[in-house]
Amino acid sequence: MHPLSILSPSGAPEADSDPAWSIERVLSLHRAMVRSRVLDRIMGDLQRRGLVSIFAPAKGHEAHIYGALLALRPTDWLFADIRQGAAALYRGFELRGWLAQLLGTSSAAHAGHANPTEFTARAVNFVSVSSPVGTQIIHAAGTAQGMKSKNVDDCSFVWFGPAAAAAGDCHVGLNFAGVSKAPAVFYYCSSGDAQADAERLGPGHFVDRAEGYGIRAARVDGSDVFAVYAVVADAVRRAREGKGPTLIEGVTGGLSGEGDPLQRLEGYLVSRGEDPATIRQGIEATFEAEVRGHIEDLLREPTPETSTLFDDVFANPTGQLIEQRTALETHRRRFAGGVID
Amino acid sequence: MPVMNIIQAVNSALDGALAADEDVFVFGEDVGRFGGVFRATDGLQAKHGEDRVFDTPLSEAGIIGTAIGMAIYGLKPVPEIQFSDFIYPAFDQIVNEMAKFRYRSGGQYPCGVTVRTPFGGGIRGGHYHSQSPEAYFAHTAGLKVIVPSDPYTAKGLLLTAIDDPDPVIFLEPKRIYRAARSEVPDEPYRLPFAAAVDREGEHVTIVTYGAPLHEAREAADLLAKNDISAEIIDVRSLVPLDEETILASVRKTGRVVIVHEAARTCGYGAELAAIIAEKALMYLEAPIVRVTGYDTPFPYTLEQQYLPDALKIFEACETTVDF
Repeated sequence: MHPLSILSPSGAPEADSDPAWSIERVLSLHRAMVRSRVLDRIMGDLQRRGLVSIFAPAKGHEAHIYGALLALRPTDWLFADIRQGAAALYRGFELRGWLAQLLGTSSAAHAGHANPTEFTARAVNFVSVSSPVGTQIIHAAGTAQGMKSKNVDDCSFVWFGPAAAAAGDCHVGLNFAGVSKAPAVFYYCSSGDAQADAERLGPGHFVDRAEGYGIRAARVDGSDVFAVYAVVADAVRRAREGKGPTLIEGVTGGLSGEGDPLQRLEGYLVSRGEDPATIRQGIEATFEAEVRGHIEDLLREPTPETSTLFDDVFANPTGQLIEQRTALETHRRRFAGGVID
Repeated sequence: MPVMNIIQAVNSALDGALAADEDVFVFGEDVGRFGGVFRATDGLQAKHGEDRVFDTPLSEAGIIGTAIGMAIYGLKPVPEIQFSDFIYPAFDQIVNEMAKFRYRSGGQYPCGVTVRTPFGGGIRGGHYHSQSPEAYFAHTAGLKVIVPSDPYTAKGLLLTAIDDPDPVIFLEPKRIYRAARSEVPDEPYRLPFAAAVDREGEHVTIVTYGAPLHEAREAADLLAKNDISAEIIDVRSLVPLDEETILASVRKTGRVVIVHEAARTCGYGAELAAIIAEKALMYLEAPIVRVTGYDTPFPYTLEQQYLPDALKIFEACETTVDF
């Protein structure tokens, strides 16, 4: 199956395929991608400084993320792996709260319970990310089955990569969705290294496996945000109409040159008479200052209270948890000044 | 009041929950059309529809992963794992996902799944139809672990579990699915996740849960003929643990025999013994004794020798009283 492209490698639309969207809509995608790059860069910086233990950059995956988000609506549920955390921001999750989760400071919604890649943003239907790869594929199928049972015409959407695609949970999730015909869209992002992917998944196209599950398949140029939008929009429409799940393979390009989704989109903007380099620099300067301002504030926050370590194990703590919490707090109070002779 | 066995009590609880709340879903392998390999879901699909009570592909990770996806969406799934021996393919989904969703999301995504699964030996099932895996789950933060011991507790505890906003592993003692009978109200009722004094006594406390409660009663009858009065505690809820009911009994008798079918090493009895030692040491008149399965895989031919029985419990109580 040949992947769908709308933009040529230089960014010019293929013949007669210009989506002809309003320039504002195109620029909003561009802004999201540029912001994502800024976050990648700053997180890399924080990682080197030891302030963030782990972060997975989205670079090269921006078309997978923003093309899909544009095709979905806010009530559709997002299941991500560790690269798509910034999707929550695109849906309107506030930046400061997002950064607090990343830094694990006291204002983080989970008070630092999870590592920096494991975002949660319930307010925008972004399900909390888990480090074990591929587990979320089954959850997406389950949530979709719940949507179907409740006669809601939303869908669940899940991104995953080659490691998850090799895991048993991927097979299980696709099998369950194939049987239940639930409104789920499975979006596989290749790694951008075809040889490495072949070593994990064999030489064929991953998406060809869909046929065996009775799931519709689509393949798309993952450097082309317009093409991703078109393919996901089609899958989502079918899901809403009760026509069942789709497995999409987003073919990730290289991280530079024509395979770079941001560069491709900027080529298109040039064809629309815009000056993307200047626009990009403006976004970078403003957004970087905003992000760094929040980070400075957040780093001044105290670490979360000791008691928060025991929060949200259950809705109400058990007697055992209360006893352990009290013991730790008492111990810490006693030795707050170090060991006293 | 009708007399039911445990299967009928579980069925009655599920029937009531499905009728009362349209967000309750019951599913698993052969749960729908067939009504469950032990018949616990018999008739529920016909009554409540194929959307509410349904068969799934045979994949435990899929059954639990589906339940998680439904629970975080706000529904109340009650999946069945046909035998607890087959729950391990879902272990990652249970331990890393179901148990951690609330914690890792800071309470944004509660995961109220009730996993029903038959456990324990004594049905000539060999090691893949007899295991008692409760300690794995009790060891995992974020899971509640509940074990009924008769029809009345089965229905009352299952309805509490379904209402609970957190994940519950509900272990049904399958050896006594049909053997144990008691009066069970037709209407819904809920029992707290707490221990109960099953029989009052003075000289020794037998702490147990699930099927061996019935062997403990037999042992207590034998002990009574030898002028030893045994108190029996039915733990019912391993997590959360009702320590006070157990400790109050230990303070009274000063002697403890802990009974479970699961293998001894790192079994739940080890936790009970540690808590009693930590919190009631000065009341103990004798070492704590455990009567448990052995550190072998569950055997086929010699399963009756593997299982705790009335005579083993009798002997352990006698030893501790004579110490």
